[in-house]
Amino acid sequence: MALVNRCLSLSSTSGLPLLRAPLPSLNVLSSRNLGRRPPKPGKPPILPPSKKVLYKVVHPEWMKPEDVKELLWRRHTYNNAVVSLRHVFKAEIEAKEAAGLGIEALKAREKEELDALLVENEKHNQQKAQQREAEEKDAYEKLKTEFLEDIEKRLAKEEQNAKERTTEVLQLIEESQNFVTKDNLDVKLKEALDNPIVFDYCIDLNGQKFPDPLPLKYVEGTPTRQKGRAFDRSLVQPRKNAPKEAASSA
Amino acid sequence: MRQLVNPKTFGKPSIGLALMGCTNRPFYHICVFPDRSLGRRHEGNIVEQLGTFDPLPNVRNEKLVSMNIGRLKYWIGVREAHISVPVLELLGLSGLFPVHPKTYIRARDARQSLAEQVAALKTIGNEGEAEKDSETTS
Repeated sequence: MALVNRCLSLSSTSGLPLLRAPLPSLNVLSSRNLGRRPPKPGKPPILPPSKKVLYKVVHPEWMKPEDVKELLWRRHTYNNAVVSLRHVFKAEIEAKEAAGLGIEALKAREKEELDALLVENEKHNQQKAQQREAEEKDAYEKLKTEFLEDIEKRLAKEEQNAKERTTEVLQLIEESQNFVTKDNLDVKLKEALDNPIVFDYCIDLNGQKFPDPLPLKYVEGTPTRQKGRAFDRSLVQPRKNAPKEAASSA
Repeated sequence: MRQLVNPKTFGKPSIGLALMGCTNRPFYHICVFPDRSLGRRHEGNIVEQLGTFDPLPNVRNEKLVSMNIGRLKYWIGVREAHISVPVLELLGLSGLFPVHPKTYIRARDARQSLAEQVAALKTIGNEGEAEKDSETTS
């Protein structure tokens, strides 16, 4: 198609007479080789014989007269021999057939054998089929139990998960009672300021706490320069409660 | 319903040589062809192959022939096939049939031509010796 378009465009521009490229024919080629059947042998009968064949005259080779005479009686004897040999062969084959050694007897025997083998094969096939059915049934049952177990496990897991989540949620709901919101912000702040939590204490085995410094609601005096675990006593005023702690510890 | 006949095997079959092989290398199969009236003989028309014949002699100067004697007897005896002359000659040489008259003639001619060749060679040899003798004497 592209070729045709090009040719057309060329012709239109140049003004020359239209030259078409040979298009491929769409109908099947008419050569005899592409048919599926092999062609008939020899020449078709409609064609006349070739010139070589038309005037062909067969000239038999010259033979010596003694050869010709010899051949005469030889041919007769030979032909008689051939005729009798045909009878002999026929009798031989008929005898073979009668004795059961012929082809038809062989065919019958083979057919019997084949039938027997087919019956055996059918039996074998049926046995195998039954076996296969039983095996498949067992496998199916097994698979079914496995699946059911899996499902049970998953359901139990989900149930447990649900329980845990419900407890969590309930806990959170309870906790949310104490949450700080915009409404109770002032109250909570006041509460926090009123109850400061200080972890700066030491504890003995009885559970008695000794905070140092003592926690104060409001800061009195100058706050300490140092805060933290490694508290240096030299940087602050001496403790007022020192004798009391000594008495309690003793 | 009338008996339907297989056109390939109906009629009087003929046993002949079918030329196979390629250029400069002929090879014959001894085949059974159907009746001539059903079409001329060609490779697609063969009913059964009964043997082979290699016309070119091998390394040991033998022309090898093979024949299925059992099937030959069937086709010749029961089906009364026409046999071509080359196949008859081969059968005669094999021993199943008597020797073909043509074989006798050909053999005799071959013997005669061989004798003539030998005689010719001998005469040439004798002439050569006579010349040598004359040279030595002179």
